[in-house]
Amino acid sequence: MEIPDFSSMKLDSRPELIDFEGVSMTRYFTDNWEKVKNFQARPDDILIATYPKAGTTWVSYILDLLYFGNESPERQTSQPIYMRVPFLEMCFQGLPLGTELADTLPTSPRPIKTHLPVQLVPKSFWEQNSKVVYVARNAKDNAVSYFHFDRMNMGQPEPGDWNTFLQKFMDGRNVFGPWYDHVNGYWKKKQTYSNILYMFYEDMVEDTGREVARLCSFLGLSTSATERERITKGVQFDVMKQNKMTNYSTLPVMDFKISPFMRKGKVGDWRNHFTVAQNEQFDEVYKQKMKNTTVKFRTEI
Amino acid sequence: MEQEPLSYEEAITRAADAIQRFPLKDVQGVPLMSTIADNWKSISEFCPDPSDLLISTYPKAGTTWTQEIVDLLLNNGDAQVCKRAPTAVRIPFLEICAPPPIPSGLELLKQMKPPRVIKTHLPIQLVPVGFWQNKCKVIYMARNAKDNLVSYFHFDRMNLTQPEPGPWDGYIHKFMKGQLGWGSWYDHVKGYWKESKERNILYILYEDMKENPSREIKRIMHYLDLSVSEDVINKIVQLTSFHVMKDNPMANYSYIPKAVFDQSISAFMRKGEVGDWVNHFTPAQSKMFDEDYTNQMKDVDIPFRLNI
Repeated sequence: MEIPDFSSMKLDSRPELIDFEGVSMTRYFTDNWEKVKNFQARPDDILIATYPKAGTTWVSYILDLLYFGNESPERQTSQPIYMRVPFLEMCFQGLPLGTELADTLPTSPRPIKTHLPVQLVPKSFWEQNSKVVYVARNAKDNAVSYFHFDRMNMGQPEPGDWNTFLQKFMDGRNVFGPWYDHVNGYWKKKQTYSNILYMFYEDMVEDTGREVARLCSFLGLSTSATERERITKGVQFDVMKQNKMTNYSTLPVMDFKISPFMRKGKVGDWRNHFTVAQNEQFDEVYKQKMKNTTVKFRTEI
Repeated sequence: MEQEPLSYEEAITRAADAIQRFPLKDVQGVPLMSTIADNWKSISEFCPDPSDLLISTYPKAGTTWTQEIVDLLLNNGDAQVCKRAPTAVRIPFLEICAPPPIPSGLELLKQMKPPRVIKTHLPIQLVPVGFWQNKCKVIYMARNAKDNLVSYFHFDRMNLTQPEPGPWDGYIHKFMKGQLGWGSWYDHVKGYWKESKERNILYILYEDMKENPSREIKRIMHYLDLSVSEDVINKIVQLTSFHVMKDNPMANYSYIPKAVFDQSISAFMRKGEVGDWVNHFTPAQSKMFDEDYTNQMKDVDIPFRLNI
């Protein structure tokens, strides 16, 4: 099977933010909304949900290896991760719709990725009691990573300089809305929907093996310790960064001269980007926005 | 018939073509502008009059501020007298050498009669021995390392005779290693601190001046054996406030042509604050810097403050 050719993928100028049911979005994630909203989930689907740049690709790859690494090893070298784990709401000209890719996935289960906040996730996922794996990343590192992503991805609104971007992030004026609402939305959903595994990026960096084991337990997989160890090695950041099937280097919408899709993957890199003043201001805003939640993040490990 | 001497501004304009970012050269272990290093013998042999006053600072530590305060004290707060010429002409920069026809510091000093006020950035070990032998008074102004570093960085961006600063992160490392013009900030502030009693140096902190200018101006007044009224002190405080000085063409270096000082990149008098470093240092840079600072400064207890 050949690597798909997306050179015909075409973008106008960078998209503008629009308000979509109370959430900041762009047309690349709303133009196909009827099909997204009415997407028919299956009971054995696995929805991988994150705020952008919180470890989506990492977890997608882990799941793919857990389920299909042995069964269909050829996928690992012939299909980019974004084909194996469709991006549900995606709607770029020249690319298959996210919903189409998901509907035509030949696998069972179907791993599907979304950045939608919890209230915009198609109802069928909840009705079918599908499994949801949510990965959250501390706000500061998430902001840094999102900034660099917006710099290199022509399918995102123009980020401006770091100071401008950070202000927008604190105000919640980013695609898929405020980070605070996103992480809290799924945290609250977890109280009433038991089929959500809420994971932290920082825990994954600290002890990937332990988190892979947690994931197996949640998914009801009886993967051997040896196999889990092999997968853990294969999903190390530097390995994925070099892997054309996971580093998004096959997508023309991204300008990798500006920044690689997978940049550092670290916890604590925010300390190299925030000024001391920005950090103080951010902490003040964060304290206010997060005062009504019990979810806790670590900004270093 | 002799040609009328050029104004300072005109001289700089004529020299504009020869202006470049001059490299640094080593003078007794201290990196100095090549134009200074090349003229080192004359500079080191300068012999002041006992009545001369030296104002010394590390670059961007409040030099101009101190110069203006001293000039106003010496002239009983007379603002007009203190606008008789640009700061650099009223109070020559001892070691500065620039392309002709810009007069060097030494040339300007030669034309002046004592008592003179002289500015230098030289570390204490490079100050011409005549200042000590003749027991001249020396006022030293020091500024906390982080704010000094930020200010020096922006100065190097706009002063086209200084070496190219490069990116901020690398600049921090050059500062810590003492690789900037006039050498190590650590050595500079410590050198004067350790000798301040023995050599009767008045050691002033930028942060103290910022917090209570009236008190600090009186310290200078007493040191200089001057006596001016409370009204004059208050007037000097007002005349040397950041915003007044920033708009004073005789103090803000706006007369320097853009080919030399490109103030569209950064104003010579940029913010004049204590604590602006928090807008520049990342927490990682701040932590790394603090570690270096702790090591470098463990033999002294100079009470710098990072905010007031």
